[in-house]
Amino acid sequence: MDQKEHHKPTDRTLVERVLSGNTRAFGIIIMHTEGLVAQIVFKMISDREERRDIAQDIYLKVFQKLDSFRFQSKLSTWIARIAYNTCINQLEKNKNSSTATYFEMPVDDDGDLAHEYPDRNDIEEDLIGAEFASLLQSELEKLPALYKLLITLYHHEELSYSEIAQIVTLPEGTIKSYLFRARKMLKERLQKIYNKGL
Amino acid sequence: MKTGDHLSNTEIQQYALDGKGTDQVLAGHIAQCAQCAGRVQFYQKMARSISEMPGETFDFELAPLVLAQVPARKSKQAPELVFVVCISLIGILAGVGLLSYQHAGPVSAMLWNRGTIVYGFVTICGLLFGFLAVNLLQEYIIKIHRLDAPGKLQQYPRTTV
Repeated sequence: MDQKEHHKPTDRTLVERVLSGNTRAFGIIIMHTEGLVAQIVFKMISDREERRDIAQDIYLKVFQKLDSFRFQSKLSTWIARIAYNTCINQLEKNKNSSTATYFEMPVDDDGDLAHEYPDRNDIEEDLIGAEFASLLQSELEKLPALYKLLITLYHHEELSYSEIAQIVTLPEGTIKSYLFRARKMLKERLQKIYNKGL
Repeated sequence: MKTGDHLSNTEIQQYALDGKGTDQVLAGHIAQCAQCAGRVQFYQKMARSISEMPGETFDFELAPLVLAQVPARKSKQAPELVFVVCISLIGILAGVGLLSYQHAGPVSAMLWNRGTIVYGFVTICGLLFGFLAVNLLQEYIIKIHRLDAPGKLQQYPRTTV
């Protein structure tokens, strides 16, 4: 642990400073957590202007509710949950196509190998690094918003099932199941593109 | 659950990504089956690529925007400070009173009779008790208000999706 890491204030210290009137400490909380919040907001809200308003709204809510935080989870998880709920509320308010996209959860069954492997070559052998990453990112963006969010939180933010469950208020088993489906869907879509000859 | 002679998608993902890499049955099959081994590699590559993707960032400075809107929060330590100040004042007054009693002349000694001292002591105790009672009541009201607040964030009220 380096010296800088050693002196990094804890969640409890920061919260106590904010509650005693130190707004600069709240600025530090924002800087520590805005990356995670951005991931959630970007995956759920497509309109740029709306994202700006929602991001501010999230942190104003955090500020107002901070005295109710009981340190039963990490501060970042608690803030992420506020972010998720704020985005959900916004989508419900909008009642537009983005809402439909978000709640659209394709039903999927496990394992049809004939469908998965119509040819003998495996795509992982043929798609090289940058090409694969670019294609993957593009297909990831096309997934239903909840799948997209779960994959990002698990693989990119490296949160545990338990932390994700606290954020999206779903049981851990459901999170696992959705993640399996999301990855399978991604794989099938990549396979389909590859079989069409990119 | 297996599909034909191959592992199911769930088993492949569990083996590749979900800490089931030590499962002997799965490992045994994957060691002998090139197709399943290829699928394991694919999922691992996919996970690695996602973890290496650049994170989303807001294209504006969020902290200054938010801080410009947050209201000044009243210091949580104010009641404790008032309490300390009160206790200090009472201590000073008691000290001054005791000194003046010990060095008082015959006229002022009449003012400092036993009744005055008892009356003063009871008054001070009453004030202190009143202050503590009001403080406790305020804290109780705040806590009850928090418990009654709708949408408590650290409970699991309902499934959102």
